[in-house]
Amino acid sequence: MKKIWSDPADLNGAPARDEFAPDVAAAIADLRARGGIDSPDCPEQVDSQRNDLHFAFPGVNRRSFMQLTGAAAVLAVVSGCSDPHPDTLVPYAQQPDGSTLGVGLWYSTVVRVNGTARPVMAKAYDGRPIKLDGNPDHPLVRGRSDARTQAALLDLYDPDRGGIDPAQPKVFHDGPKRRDGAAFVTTTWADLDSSVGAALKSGRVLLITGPVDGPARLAHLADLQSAFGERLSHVAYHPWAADSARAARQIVLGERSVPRWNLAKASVLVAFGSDLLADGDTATQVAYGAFRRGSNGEPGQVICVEPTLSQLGTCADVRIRASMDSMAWIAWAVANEVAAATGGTIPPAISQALPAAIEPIAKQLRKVRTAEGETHAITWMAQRLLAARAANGVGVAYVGGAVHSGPESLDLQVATTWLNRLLGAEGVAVVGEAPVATRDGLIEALSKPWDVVIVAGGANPAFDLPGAAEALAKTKLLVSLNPTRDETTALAAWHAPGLHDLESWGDASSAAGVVELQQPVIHPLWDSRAAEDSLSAFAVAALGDAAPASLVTARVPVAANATVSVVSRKQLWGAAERGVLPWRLYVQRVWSDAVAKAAGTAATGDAFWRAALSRGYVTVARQVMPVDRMFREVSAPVAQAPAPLSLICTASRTIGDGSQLNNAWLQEIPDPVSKVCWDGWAAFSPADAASSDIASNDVVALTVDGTTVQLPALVQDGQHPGCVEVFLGWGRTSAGIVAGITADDGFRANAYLLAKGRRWGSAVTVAKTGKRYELAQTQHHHRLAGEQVAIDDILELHRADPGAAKRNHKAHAWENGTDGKPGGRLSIWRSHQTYPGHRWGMAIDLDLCTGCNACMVACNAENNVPVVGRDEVRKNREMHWIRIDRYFSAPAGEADARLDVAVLHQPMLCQQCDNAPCEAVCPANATVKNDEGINVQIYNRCIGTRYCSNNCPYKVRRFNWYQYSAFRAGPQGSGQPDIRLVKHVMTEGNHVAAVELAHQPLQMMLNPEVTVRHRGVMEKCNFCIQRQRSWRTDEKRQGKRVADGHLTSACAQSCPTAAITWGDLNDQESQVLKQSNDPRAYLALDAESNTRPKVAYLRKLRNRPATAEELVALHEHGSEKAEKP
Amino acid sequence: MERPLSEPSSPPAAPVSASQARPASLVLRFWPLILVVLLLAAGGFYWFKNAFHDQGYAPVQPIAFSHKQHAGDLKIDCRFCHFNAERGKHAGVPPMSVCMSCHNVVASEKPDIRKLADIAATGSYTAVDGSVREGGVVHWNRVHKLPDHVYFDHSAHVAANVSCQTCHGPVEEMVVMRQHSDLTMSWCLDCHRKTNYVGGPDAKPGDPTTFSVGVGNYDVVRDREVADPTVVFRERQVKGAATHEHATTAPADTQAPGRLATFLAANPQFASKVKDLPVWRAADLPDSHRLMNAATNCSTCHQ
Repeated sequence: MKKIWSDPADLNGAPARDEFAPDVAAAIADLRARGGIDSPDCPEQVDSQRNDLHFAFPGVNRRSFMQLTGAAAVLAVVSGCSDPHPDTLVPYAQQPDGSTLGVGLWYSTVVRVNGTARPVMAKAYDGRPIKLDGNPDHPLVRGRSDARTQAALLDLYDPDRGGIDPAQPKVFHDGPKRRDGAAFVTTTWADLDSSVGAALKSGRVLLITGPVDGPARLAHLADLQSAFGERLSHVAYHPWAADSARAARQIVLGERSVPRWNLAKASVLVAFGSDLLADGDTATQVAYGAFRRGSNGEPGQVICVEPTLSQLGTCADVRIRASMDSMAWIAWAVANEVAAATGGTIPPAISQALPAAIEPIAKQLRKVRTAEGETHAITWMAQRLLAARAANGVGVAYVGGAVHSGPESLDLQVATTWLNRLLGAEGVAVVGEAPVATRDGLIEALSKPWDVVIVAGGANPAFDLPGAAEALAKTKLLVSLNPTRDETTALAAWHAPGLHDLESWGDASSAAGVVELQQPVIHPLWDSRAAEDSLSAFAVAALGDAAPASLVTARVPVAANATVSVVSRKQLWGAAERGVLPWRLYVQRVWSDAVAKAAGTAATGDAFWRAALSRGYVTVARQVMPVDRMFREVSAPVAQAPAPLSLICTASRTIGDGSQLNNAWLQEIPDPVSKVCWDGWAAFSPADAASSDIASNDVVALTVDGTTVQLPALVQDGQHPGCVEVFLGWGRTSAGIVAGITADDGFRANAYLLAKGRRWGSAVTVAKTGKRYELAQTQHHHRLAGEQVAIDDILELHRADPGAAKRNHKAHAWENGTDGKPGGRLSIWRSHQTYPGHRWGMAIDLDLCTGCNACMVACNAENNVPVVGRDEVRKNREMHWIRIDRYFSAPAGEADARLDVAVLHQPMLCQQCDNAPCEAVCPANATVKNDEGINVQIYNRCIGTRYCSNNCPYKVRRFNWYQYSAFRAGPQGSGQPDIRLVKHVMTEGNHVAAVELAHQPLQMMLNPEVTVRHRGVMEKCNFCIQRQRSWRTDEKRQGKRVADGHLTSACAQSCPTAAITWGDLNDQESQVLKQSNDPRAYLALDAESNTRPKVAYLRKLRNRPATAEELVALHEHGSEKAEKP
Repeated sequence: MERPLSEPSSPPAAPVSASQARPASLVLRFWPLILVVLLLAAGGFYWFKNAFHDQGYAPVQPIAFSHKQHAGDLKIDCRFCHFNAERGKHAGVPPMSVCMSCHNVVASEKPDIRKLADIAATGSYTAVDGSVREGGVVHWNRVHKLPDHVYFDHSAHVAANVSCQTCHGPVEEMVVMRQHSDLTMSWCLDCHRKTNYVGGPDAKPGDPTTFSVGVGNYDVVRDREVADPTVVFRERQVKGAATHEHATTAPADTQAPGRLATFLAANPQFASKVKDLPVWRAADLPDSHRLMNAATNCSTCHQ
C-alpha cells in the first residue's frame, strides 16, 4: 500500500489538524481549563480573546457593538424612506456599431506577461473589459490562457497606477511627473516633451525597453535609431532572457537564435532542472497538453532530472533528483549513450572527461525500477529517448526558464543542445527564433556612461538586475515611460506614464511566423499615454525638422474636432497638435503596408487592417535565422568545489517575473507545489531540514556572498538535499499597496539581487533567527476525509486491464442493495431528481492537470470572487470557488519517501451532487437543486448558519466573513483607508457616472452578470450559472437546441491543457459525456458518501514502467475477477 | 366574575413592583426604547410599502415624452426605439441618435423637442433638482426596476412572442409612462406556471422538446392573451398618476400637417417619388433616417 499525504503531519499518523484556527483553538482550550464559562475562574471578558471585533472596530466590545448595530439599523431604515427609484437611466448619445446593451463584446488583442506575448480576446461590457481569454482562432493558444494572462486584467484596473499617495488617499496623482528634490511633482505633457527633447539634442542616449518583437514596434525603434544615429543605443531587456541558450546554440549550431520548444511534435521530454510549465507562456502550456495527450493515443512521457520540486516535476512520470551542478554531466552522459547508439559523436573534450566526472554523480542517482529489475537512470533516459526515435517520435531535452538564463548554465545548455541535435529534435521539436531580449547586453551597456537613459515597456532593471540601480542613479538624466511607479521609475528625473497593454495600440509576436495586433479595449484610465507616443514626441522635440518623416504629421489645432471625447482628445489630438504622428496611426500604417505584404493575403491596405483587427493575428513567413557557422570548441564543464548548501533562484510559479507583484489575484493563488500564497519563502529539503533542525515557518537568515536576507523557511517534500530554493519576483519596494503589505516584517528579500545575479550554484549559509512567521499555506485547508478522492494508476497496468480499478474500488454498505433492490443504493433520499432538460456536468482529466491555477484566476474574474488577504488565508478563509488540491505519494517501503515523491493535482470545486448533503441541512432553503441539476446558492435566502459547509464532504463552500469585495487585499488593512478603495460595489442597475468609476477603477472590472456577494453569506461554484442562462436564452432565441461547446465554464475555457470539460450530460454527443464514460472516470467520494456528484475525475496515468510487485498485484486482482461468477 | 377553571383562585398578589403598578412610568423609563421601536415600525412600514407598491409608479421625466403619441397615435413599433429588447437582456433606453433621427425634421419647433436638441448640442443640462447632467443625453428617470438578484432577459421573451403589453400594459395609451404590473415574483410565476416552462402543466419530464426550449411552447402565452379568460393580471388603479405639464397639448399637435406633407403640397412633382419607395434603400435616405428598421415605414412619422 502506498502512502498518500498532502501535509507532512499525515506521515506521522498524527490526527488531522484541528479545524479551528489556532487562536480560536487556544481560546477554547483556555476556556476548558478554567472549567467553562459558568465557573468562577472564568473572567468576564472571554470574548476579549477573540479579538476580531477589536481589530475591526478598535475600542468596541460586544455590548457596544450591539448598541451600535441597533442604532445603525434605525438609521438605515430612516434613510430608506426616500425615493424608491433613485436611479436614472442614461442612454448612449449614439450606440456604437454592433453593441447590444447587456451583451459583452469580444475584442482580439494581445497582452505581454513575463516578457512574452499572450494573444487574448477581451470581453468588454459597455467599454469595460471584464475578462480575458485566449484567442480561439490563434494556432498556438487555441482559446486557452493561463493564470498570469487572466490576471493581467487586474493590472489594468490597479488603482496604484493612479499614483496613490498614502498621505492623501482620496486623491489620485496621475499624469506626467517631474522630479523636484526627493518627490515627483505633476507637470504637463508639453513641458515634459520639450524638456526631455532638449536633453536629447546631444549626448549619448540609452533606450531600455522590454522585449520587442512586433513589426510596428520594431519599425518604430528602427526609425528612432535612424533619427538619432550612433548616439542612440537600444537594449531590449528581460531578466529571464535566454542568453545562455543563445550562446549555446551559437556554439553548437552556429545559429544566432534562441530555442522554442514545439512540444506537440515530441513524445518523450527530459527536463534538466528546468520548469517548462511555470516559466512557459500560454502556447508552451497548450503544447504541453497536446504532448501529454499524445498523438495516436500514446501519451507523452515526462522525465525530470532536478534538484528542487518544480511544477513540471509534479507532473513528471519519472523524477530523478540530482544537484544542479551535476546536471550538465548527466546531460552529457545521456548524450554519450545516445551518440553510441545512433553513431553520432560528442566533443572530444567531453568524452575524455566524462567517465571520471560522471562516476560520483551516477552513484547518487536513484535507479529506475522496472519489471525486469533496476535500471540506471542515465541508461534508462537514453533508452527512452532512443525508443521514441525508433517509434517515429521525437525525444527532446529541455533546459530553460529563469533559472537557466545566465552564463552559469552555459555548459548545461551546450550539452542539451548537443543532445537534441543527436536526437534529431533540432528543427522539429526545438526550433530557433530571433532573440527578443537580453540580460547580458544590458549589463554591458550599463557599464558605459550615458547622458540620457530612457526606460520603457515595463523594463525594471533597478529591481531585477544587480548593479543596475547604482548605474542608473549615476546617469545624468533618467526618463521612465513605464506604466507604474516601479523601482526604476523611482530613480527617474521624469516620468511619462505609459499605458497598460489593454489601453494601448501595438503589436507583438508570440512565436516566429505569427504576429499579433494589439488594440485598446478601454480608454486610458489615467492621464497617461503610450510609451511610443512619448518616444515620438521626444524625437520630434529633439530633432525638430530633422525628425524622420514617419514620426511627424501635419499640425492639427486642438479644437479642430470637437466631437471626439475629452479623453481621446487628450490622447490623439494632443500629439497631433505638436505635429507628432499618433502611435495608433503609426501601427495602422505599418500593418496595412509592411505586414500586409509579409502576410501575402488577398486583402490589402485598409481591408487587411480591419481583418487583422478582427482576427487579432496574422501568419507571416518565418524569419530565417542568421547563421555564422562560427563553431567554438566545446569545453568540459568546470568542476566546482561543492558547497554544503547551494542556492537556487527559480521563478515564482504564481507572480511570475515580479512585474505583477501588485496583483492580488496572483498573490492569493497558492503556489502549485508548496501551496503557499502571499509570501516568498526559502524551500529546504526534508533531509537538510532534519539535519539542521529547521522547521517550516522558522525565519532563517541566508547569507550569500556576504549579503544576508531573512526569509521564512518551508520544508519542501521532493527537494534534493544540499540546496536552498528561493523565488524571483518577490521583494519589490515600490510595486504598490498590495505588494507593499506582502513585504512587511522585513522579508523584502529580492532573489534577483542575490549572488550578483547568479541564479544557481552559489554557496549559502543558513542560520536560524529564532523567529517564527506563519506562511499562509492552504495545503492543510479543506481536507477531504475518505479514500477515493485523488486516484492515479500506471499506464501499463491500466492498458492491461482498463476496468480493474473500477471493479476494485471499495464498495460500501449502501452499494450492496440494502434498500431491497439489487444494485440499488441505501439512501435517505426518496428518489433522485431527474433533469429532463439540460443536466450540466464536468469531467476533469487529472492526467492533464498541471496545477497551474489558470482556472482559479479565471473563476476570480468571471464570478467576482474576492481576495481575502494573507491573514484571512491563514484562518482557512480563502474564497476561491475552485481550488487545486495537491497530494504527494510514495510507494510503500520507499526509503526516501519524502524525497522521491509522486505528485497529483486535483482541481476541487462544487460537485453539484444529486444527493447533496448541503441541501438537507440548510434551515433557510437557501441551497437547492435547480431544474438542470445545479446545486444553486440563493444569496438572499442565506442566513449564514454554515451548516452546509460543515456537511459538505468536498469542503468547497466558502463563507464571506468580511464583505471581502470591499477590500483590495483583505481586511488586514481595514484601518488604512487607502487600501479600502473599493467601498461601493457597483451592481447592475446601479449606474455610476464615468467620472466616479475612473476614480474607483476596481469596480469597473466586476462581471455585471454575477452578483457581488455580501458579508455573512455562503457562496460556492455554480458551474458559471450565468453562462448556463445565456446558453438557454440562446436556445430560446433560436428555438432549438444549440450544439455542445456553445459555451463552457470559465475554468474549462481557461485551462491551458484542456483538462476540464464542461457540458450537458443529457446530450448524447457531448464531450463531457464521453469523458464521464471513460474507463478512467471515477466520482470522488461517491462510494463513501453516496453523494452522486456530477463531476467525473479521470485517473492520472503515470507513464512509467510498472514494477514487478505492481504487475503481481494486477495479476491477483485479475484472478479475483476470474473467480467471481 | 368567571375565572378559568385551571387557574387556582388566589387573592391578588400583595407585593407589586413599582413598574407594574404604574404603567405610565414604564413609558417614562423606557421611552428611548419605545421611540426606537416606533421609529423602526414606521421606517419599516415606509420601506416595505415602497418595495411592494411600485406598481403605478410614474415619475415626471425631464422630457415630456408621450408613449401614447409615439406608440399609440403614430403606431411606431416598440422595437424601433427599444431595439435592444430583441437582442439582449435589457430593453434599453434608445440612444439620443434615435430620437434625433426623426426629430431633426419632425416637430422640431416644439418646446420639448427644442430642449432635446439643446441637450444633444450643448452636452449638458440642468435637471429639475438643480444638478448638472453631463453627456449630451437625457437622464431619464427609471420606471421599471427589478431587484439585483433577478435574472430577466427581454430577448427570450420577445423571441417567445410575448407581447410588450403583457408585462408593460397598454403603453400605447400612456401619456406618462408608468409601471403597469407589480413585478413581484408571484406575478412572474403566474405566467410561467401556465406555460410549459419548469413546473408547467404540459412539460413532459424526460422529453426535452417539451421543456423550456422552442417557440411552440409559448403558444399558451399567446393564446391566453386573446382567449384564456382564466388568467387575469392583477390590474390595480394607478395611484396619483403624474399629470405632465406638456402632455395634454402634445397629441393635438400631431393633427397639424407635417413638414413632408407641407413640402409635397408645395412640390407635387416629388409626390410620385415618395410613393415609389415601397422598400427602403438606405442610400436613398438622409443620414438622420438610417437607423430605421423595416417595422416602421415612412407614414409612421410622415403621416
